[in-house]
Amino acid sequence: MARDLAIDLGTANTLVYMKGRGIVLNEPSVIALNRQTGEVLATGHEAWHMIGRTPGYIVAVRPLRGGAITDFDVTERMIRLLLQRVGVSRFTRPKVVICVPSAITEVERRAVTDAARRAGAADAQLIEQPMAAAIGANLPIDEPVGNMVIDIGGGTSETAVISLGGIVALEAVRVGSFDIDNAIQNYVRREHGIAIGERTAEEIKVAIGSAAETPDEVEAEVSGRDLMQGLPKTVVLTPEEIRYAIDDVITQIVQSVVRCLAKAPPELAQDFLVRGMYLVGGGGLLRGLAERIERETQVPVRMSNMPLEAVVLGAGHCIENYDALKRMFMGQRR
Amino acid sequence: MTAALVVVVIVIALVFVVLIVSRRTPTSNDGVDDFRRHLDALSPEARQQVIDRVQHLEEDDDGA
Repeated sequence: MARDLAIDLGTANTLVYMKGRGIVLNEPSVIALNRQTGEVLATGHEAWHMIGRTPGYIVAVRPLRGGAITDFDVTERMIRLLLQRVGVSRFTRPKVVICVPSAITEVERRAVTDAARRAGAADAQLIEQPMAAAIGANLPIDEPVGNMVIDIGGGTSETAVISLGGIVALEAVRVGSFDIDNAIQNYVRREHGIAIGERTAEEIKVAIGSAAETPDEVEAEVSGRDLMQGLPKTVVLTPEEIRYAIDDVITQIVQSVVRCLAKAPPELAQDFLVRGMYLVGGGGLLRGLAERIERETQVPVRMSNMPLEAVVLGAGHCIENYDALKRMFMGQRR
Repeated sequence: MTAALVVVVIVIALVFVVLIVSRRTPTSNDGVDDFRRHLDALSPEARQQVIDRVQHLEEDDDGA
């Protein structure tokens, strides 16, 4: 008998929660394929190390962009491998709850459920990421009070107001951590004339990236390929430069939070001032982001205890209480 | 004999219809009970089990 699963199929990372066991898998959403044969060569951490460093016949790709499936076939194969790795076989078909961005289209929704069913799931249900995040962050969403959660993922940023077990207001933008990495890549290319890879841009973000000025700022040496000469070159980047480079992306995220606050019923507005907003997702770990949102909204921002795991924990709770929480699933609301 | 058989079939069909209709028609309390069950399952106490399970696993990993 298969144990039911909850999957946070994120643009950046994939986490799997197994009923009765907890989180059994946490790794990057990357798959490496042989371009000629289509054979899967690696997934997860192993494939992530290959990004930008593969010979011509290998391609290491992220099959999800902006929270949506960009390559159905590759995603299906990735889900199939995930299920195999957590012990699902052809004869044991579990129920699966998958977390997806709330702004997903009907076509994308069907693509995810079809991919899961074809990969071996007996039943696949979807739950919105901000709802799962609120459950996983242990917010009192069963009470008639406004709980605001901001989930900043790799490809999407979603803000939701939740009360009495349901979403009251929601705002989502297809902008996330990867757009911050892209902005850094573009800035370094434009201003310093060197090309850097996706992984280097991410390392710069983690090392010196910030959304607002922070104490103990340091500079970073970055190496890439000179666009004019084609030779390796090293430049020094400052935190101010990175803040300037990523400002457009940060502004879009902050504006979506403001729009969500504006959509919320006035009765709940006072709850936010008292209880604050909760930040979850890997993007929320960017230095100074909580302070910047707090400054621009005048609402306190708190960091969840487990920002990276909150979404899969919420979906895990749904799989543990499948029948009672059926109305949480997209397309099941009554 | 045939008439008795027809009567039995009709009775069985009626019982089925009554059963299906009674299961499909929500009683006035169904919605309330369902909603209560939904909120109970979302209470922090109900969720503690999942969070504890993950924290225990993390502690075990740290200890190993």
